[in-house]
Amino acid sequence: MSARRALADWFDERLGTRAINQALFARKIPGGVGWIYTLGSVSLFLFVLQAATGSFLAMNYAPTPDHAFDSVRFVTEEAPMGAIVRGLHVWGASAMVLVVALHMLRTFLTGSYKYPREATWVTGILLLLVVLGFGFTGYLLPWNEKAYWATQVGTTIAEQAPFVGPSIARVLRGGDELGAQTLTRFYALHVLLLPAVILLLVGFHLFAVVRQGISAPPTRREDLPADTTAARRTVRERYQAQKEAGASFYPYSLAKDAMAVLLVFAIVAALAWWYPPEVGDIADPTEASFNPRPEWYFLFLFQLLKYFPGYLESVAAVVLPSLAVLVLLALPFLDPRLRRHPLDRPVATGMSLAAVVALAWLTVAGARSPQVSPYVARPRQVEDGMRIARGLHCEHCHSVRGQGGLVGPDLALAKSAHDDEWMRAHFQNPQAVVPGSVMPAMGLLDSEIDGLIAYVDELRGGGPYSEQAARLTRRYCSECHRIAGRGGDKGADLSAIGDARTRSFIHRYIEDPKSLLTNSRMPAFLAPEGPLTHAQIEDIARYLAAQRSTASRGEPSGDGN
Amino acid sequence: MSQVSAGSEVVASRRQWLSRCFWSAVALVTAGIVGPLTGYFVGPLLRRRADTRVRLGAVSDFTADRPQRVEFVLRQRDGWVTEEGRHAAWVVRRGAEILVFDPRCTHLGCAYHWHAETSQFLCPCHDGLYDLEGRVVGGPPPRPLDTYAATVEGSDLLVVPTPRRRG
Repeated sequence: MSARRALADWFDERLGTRAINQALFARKIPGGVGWIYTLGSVSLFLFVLQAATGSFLAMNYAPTPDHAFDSVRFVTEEAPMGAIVRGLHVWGASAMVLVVALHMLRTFLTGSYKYPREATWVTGILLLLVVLGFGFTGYLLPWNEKAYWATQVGTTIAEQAPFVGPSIARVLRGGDELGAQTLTRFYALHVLLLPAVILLLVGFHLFAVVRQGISAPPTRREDLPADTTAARRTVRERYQAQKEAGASFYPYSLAKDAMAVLLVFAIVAALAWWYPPEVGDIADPTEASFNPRPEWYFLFLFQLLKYFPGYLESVAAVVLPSLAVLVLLALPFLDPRLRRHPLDRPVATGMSLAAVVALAWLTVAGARSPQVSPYVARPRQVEDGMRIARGLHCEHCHSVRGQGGLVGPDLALAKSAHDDEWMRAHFQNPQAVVPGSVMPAMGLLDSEIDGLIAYVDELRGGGPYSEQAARLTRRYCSECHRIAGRGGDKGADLSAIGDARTRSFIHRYIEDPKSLLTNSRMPAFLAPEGPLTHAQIEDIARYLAAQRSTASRGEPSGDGN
Repeated sequence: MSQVSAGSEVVASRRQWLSRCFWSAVALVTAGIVGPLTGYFVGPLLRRRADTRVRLGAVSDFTADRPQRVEFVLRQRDGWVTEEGRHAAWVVRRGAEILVFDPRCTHLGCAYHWHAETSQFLCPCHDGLYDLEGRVVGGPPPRPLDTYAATVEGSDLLVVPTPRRRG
């Protein structure tokens, strides 16, 4: 007797492995089960992928508003392989929603939810809901603008529910406002509670699949007795016969499943590699110019809300989705007829296809709907510098446009005659550069100093501009815009534009106004469509950003800095 | 008869081929997941901490052969957090050379102090003794005091506060 055989015997004697193997892998599968039947296995694989990548991502995640964003940024930009691991998780999540939805559609079209697989179907619908719950809670965790505003919209939708809405929203948020308690709540749901729930449901679902067997492909105009009990017996007997004539699960079905898994994994990995997940801008509740958009698989709901007037909003937001879920759960009981072929169920098939088309159409319309607010991602270093300045409480001694302390110079208006090198030396050791300065040396890291310099530059108008800047601006802008009292009135007065807009915004606006404000009447100025080069636009943008309502007006000197 | 056996051979080889497909796909997907996860998990081995230099004072602040304990604030990045922490070091000026010691005894990490009468560093935990240059002269310490890399720029003493073992 070979050693392998002895080992198998050893395990079988103790654990009954042969019986398990027979029940799980050597069981017969009816013939004709094609590629669309691999979607369930692919869903299971994606769950494993999400669990594996998620466990590792949690090692470098801090679920608090002050560290969540930075920890996700650390994973994405600094941790070795972090971008690919997070990419697999992010793309895997989208793939999971898509594959689970397609799996449900297949089960519906082949009538597989019917007797005797009703329990499998019901757990399947619950699994779909849990997957969407994973998507909703996971989306908030990076704590960036997209995450924050999508969750803001999502929890406000819950608020629309009749009577209990406000209470549901409060429970979801863990308080009145989206904040620290929302984040820990979503985190705990995402990594502790929902995984436990999904494991139980997956276990039940798989047990039911093995117990009842994979449904055989439906036959057209199946001939069944009129009596329900007799018809059910016929269904059972026919299935038994088809099953016995079929092939073993391993390797005949499993090879197909494994190939489908390989294909889906290759797609997810390729997306993770070529389209790594973005980090975005840190969540900012005061930022009014962001266009909230949910993740693509909630876009249909987002879009649906636009078609309902205010007083009917709760219908679209809560009533319709709840009804849809209830109908799905009750489906096997609403339609107990046993014929399964999609063409034998024209109403059900037609309605499901209409629902698919409607969902797809709403999703596409939602994705294409214009972004009404102009939004420019803030330059990364400026953003960093602003946060460091806040952390160091610079405002205790310095003011920014009149707000703050008076010990040091105003950071926005100080006409600093210094270049970056001077600033760097000054941040490192103020007394060495300005003897007697009361500014403390703070032992700042080089990367922090880079951020602070970028921030102060942006406050000053985004850096020095050339002597041509004023002339260029007059030549190209004053036909429509007034600056310091001179110019046309077709456009806005730009005399104090620096108070309202940053250099980066102004630059992009001059390049292509319609990319920021779809209804803008201003032409694009960037060559070849427009007359200006990138460098000239940057020059004008810096000059305009320096146009402020107070001190900087009237002294448009530039490159002497 | 021979037809039947040929048929079962075809079945057997198809079965074998499908098994191979299955296991190859499993191996490829597993490698595709485990590879990045392993790299990510052992990342701390691949990543070196950026050494931050701190100014401890002017060289002239330190008297020859008289150890001085210097406290300093160190701002450093720990993953995604920038932390400011208070740290200390012992500075010993030996002629032209400046030695900077990590303030923890090499035995079990207790904070030691300078005993001027005997001109020795004394660790209060287990009576570890070191001389002016950090060499063990008594007690259980297994090796001399750890040092920090020190450089003089102009008149300033700068150190990288990462302990380095000697001997």
